Amino acid sequence: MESLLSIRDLRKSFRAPDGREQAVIDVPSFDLAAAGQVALRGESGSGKTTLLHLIAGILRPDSGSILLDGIDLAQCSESQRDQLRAQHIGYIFQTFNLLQGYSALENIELAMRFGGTLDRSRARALLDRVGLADRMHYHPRQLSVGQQQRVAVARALANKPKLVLADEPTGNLDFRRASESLALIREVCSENGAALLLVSHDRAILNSFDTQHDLRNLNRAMAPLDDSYVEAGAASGSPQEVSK
Amino acid sequence: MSSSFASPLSAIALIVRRSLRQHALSSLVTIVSVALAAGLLMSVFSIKQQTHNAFTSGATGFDAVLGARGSQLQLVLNSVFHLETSPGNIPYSSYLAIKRDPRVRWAIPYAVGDNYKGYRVVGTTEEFYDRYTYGDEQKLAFEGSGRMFREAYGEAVVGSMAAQATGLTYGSTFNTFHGLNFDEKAQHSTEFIVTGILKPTGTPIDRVVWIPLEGYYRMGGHEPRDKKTGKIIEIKPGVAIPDEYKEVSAVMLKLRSGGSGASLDVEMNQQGNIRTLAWPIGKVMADLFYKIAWANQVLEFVAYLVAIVAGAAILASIYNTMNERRREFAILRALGAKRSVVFSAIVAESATIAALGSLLGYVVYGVLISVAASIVRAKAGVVLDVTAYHEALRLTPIGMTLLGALVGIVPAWKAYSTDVATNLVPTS
Repeated sequence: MESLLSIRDLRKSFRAPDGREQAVIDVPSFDLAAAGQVALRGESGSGKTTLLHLIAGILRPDSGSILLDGIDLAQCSESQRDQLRAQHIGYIFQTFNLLQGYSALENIELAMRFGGTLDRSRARALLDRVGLADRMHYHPRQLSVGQQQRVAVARALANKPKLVLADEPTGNLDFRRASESLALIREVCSENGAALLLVSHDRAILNSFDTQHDLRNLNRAMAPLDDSYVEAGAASGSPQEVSK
Repeated sequence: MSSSFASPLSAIALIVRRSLRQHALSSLVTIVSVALAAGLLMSVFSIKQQTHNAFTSGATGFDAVLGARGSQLQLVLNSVFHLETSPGNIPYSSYLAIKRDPRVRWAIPYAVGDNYKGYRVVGTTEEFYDRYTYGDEQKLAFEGSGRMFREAYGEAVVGSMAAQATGLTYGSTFNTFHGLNFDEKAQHSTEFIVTGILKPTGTPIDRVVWIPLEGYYRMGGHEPRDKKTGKIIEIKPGVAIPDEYKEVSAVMLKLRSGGSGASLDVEMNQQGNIRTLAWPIGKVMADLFYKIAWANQVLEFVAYLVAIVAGAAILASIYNTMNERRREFAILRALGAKRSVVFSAIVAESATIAALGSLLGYVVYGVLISVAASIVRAKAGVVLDVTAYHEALRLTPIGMTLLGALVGIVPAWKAYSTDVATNLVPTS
């Protein structure tokens, strides 16, 4: 099957607090088929968030290529990567990253505006699909954690993306809700024809996927520095900020 | 309906709306401060223009004033605007002479020196009512069944503002007070009865109590004197006062043409040295405004400073939210917002605060110009046109909005520079 996402010789380093360049990502090869669903096992410090940020175009690699549907993100300008991200990539964060001043519906509509097409009926349909038809005008703080995550799922699919990235999407949920949430993510991705690349360290989650990889096998870079760096840096993808 | 242009704009509009709502209190305070600045700026320029126009447009109903030798400005302020003391009197014969002058369409004598409860009492002739026009050649009119005083009687007519302020109505009787400032002890014994209240004219005559010139001469303290001996001429009731004993404070003139004014100006002011002709009245007042132009410049400078302070308030109010909004910007960027969109959203937010403040500034302007108009009306009888257009009414909102956008660049740059990956994680 033709690859939607194709990574070759991808490298990314950060400057550590002591001034040394520290390689965080060194992935020789990785492929994801269109509409495929793959889970990556990524422990803390394995560079999973950095990898997802690179694929999403939030970070730019030092070298290598990231081909998304034939377009090499590594060769794109920041503005082009922003546009690609808005139109073709959905991102579900562990902390959901919903905009607090906006309703559930506005969170989705705003993503649509960045993608270039505002489709209010689709925004409502997505919220209806994730079971929040009666919570469209609620703000994140008025929603439970599970409901917030469902808004994040709906938002990730707002612009009919080709690829959905999920970074520990169930990390803030209990086991029962995590299973339900995972099922929902996989269903809506399938329904929308979007490929899913999910990163987690939860074995139960990982084992539900037919295809799974261990990020340590993909990423030849060693986990950097001390524990405090590893924990926070892995979450933020930015060692410099952690050191502050 | 994909549109690569409209959607970012609508996104920016939504971001601005939500931010204003999230920071409602600080936004409101800033909007009010901008409104005060915009209102002040518009008022300073508009009031300056309106005041200048009101005092120099010549809408006072006269072309020139003839009076005693002295300052033209003092003569105009005293006789036209009823504000200053009289520079002195001229012989009644001067009035008769100028009245006969072919260059003069009509001439009306004024005798000043009394007041009623602080409002000027002016002695004049019945001709004043027949001849005087104001504004667009409008003639004087009375409220209700009022009529002009008769010169041989102790009658009076009252300007609209003076009537309102003093309580004089049709049929009221009153005694005038000597001097231009109200002093209860200086009451004249002569009693006048009000025969009419003039309808408002929007000119200084609204602030005047009008009595017959003859009545003025017959009041104690105003009796004519023999110029050689200085003795008071005895005036008997029913017997006309000889003209040679009478004096007037000023003669109000309507001229036949501009050329008439020019030749009279040469004759009275340059060749003669007994009388002063204030002509044209608008120019005399314009000279006054020219002399006090520095005061206007100070006011304008203060208004500009207030506007700059308002701009700084916008900058501070938005800049102070930047730290707490770093994650919001990172999320927006992660959703695909370009740096330019985030930058534009902050500039637009700043400009919106300034624009909303400027709109509210029209209310402030309305209040300020209304207050200013009522003060000028009360003090000088001159009506400011509060609805008149001034360029400042258009340029101030535009300028304030541009200033808002300009100061918004500072916090916008901070938003523009927000690192996405670093700020996507929650901060405790």
